[in-house]
Amino acid sequence: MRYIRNVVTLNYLEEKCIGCGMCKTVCPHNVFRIENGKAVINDKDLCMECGACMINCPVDALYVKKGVGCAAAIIQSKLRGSKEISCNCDSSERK
Amino acid sequence: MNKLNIVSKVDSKWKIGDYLGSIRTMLGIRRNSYSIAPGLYKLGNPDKNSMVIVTANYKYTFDIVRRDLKEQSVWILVLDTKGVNVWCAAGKGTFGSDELINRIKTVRLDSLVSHHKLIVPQLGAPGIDPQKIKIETGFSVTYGPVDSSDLNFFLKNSLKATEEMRTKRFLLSERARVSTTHYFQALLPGLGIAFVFGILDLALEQFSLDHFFSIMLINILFVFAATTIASIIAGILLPILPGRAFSIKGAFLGILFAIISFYLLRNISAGTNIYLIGKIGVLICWITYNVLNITGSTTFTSLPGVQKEMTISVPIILGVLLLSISAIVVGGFLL
Repeated sequence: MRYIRNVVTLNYLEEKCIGCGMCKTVCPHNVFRIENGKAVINDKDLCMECGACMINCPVDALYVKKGVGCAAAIIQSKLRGSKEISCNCDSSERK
Repeated sequence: MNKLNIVSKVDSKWKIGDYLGSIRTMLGIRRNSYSIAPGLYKLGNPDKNSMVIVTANYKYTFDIVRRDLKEQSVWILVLDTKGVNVWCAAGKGTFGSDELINRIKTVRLDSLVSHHKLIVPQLGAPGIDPQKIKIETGFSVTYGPVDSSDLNFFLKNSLKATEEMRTKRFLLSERARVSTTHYFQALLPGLGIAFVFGILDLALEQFSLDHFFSIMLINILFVFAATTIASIIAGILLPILPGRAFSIKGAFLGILFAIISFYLLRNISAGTNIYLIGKIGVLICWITYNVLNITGSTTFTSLPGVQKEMTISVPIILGVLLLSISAIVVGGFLL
């Protein structure tokens, strides 16, 4: 299943990439492939911004604004007047 | 000896309480207090060469992992994720490098195994920095498959997962489970709406006890039908519902519900047609809102995506809600 296009904050610096394949291993949506010793983005719109590739990249070639795609979290942060949208849901469904 | 150093023995079989707990959490009953003690567990008869599987201390997660590891002899290292599953906890950082490092040291893992390998679930990766763990503990992280049901294959296949096993899907069985949770969480507010509807209907009719029960029952069924569509039906049909935005999927189901219920209720409902349309309008908003809320339980939505659709859909939902309430007041009590 695919979600809204052209909104993802994933940013990849190819010149830093050493082709270790860590991003490909950890990504749950198959966003990356390795070609000629470098990571290549298959389809950016598949990214859900979990942040796994960013923290696991040994050379900081990947950046993504890590966040949770949850309407309830957005509403709660609006009601609290807080800028930070975090998964504080007492009944997190992804359990 | 520190209490945390005691290694508990578990087996892969589920007892009746484990099944009941699985159902309880699915129904959303006290699902935030379903955890086990963090620390090291023995499954089968692990020795110093056995693999170490890392997981979270949400009991349902732990139960699934040990069940999926039947006939294996492994160590299970349970992190303190405050009773939250691996993926959510990794997002929050509680399933994270610091906790893993701390747990390896408290259980003195290096005194129990001769190798320096950890198998960490792939969905825990958002919280894990393998370089940091290697430097601080000497242990190296190998990412296991997304789903623990592939762990047996992974262990036999010299710790390699197929591409399929590295991809998180949102299968019908998973959608059915989260839909059920959504349904039960929406029941109480749904009852609230039905009660208000019932009181309004009663204000329009001659009051009698007979009336009271039949009117309340009709309204409860009316709202429950909407809630079922917004949770169970929406969850099951998710991949084939039109639109990428969940608010569009929800509005589609809401309008479908509106058409059907208008034809069924127009001759038996209290008040005028405008009053009935107002009530149905409230339920269109209820359905759309609930479907929008499924975003939090899916495996593929992103924060900027949800924000983008909400900047458009939330004002529309609130507008329709206001119009519907006006229709109830005007159509029911002023005309």
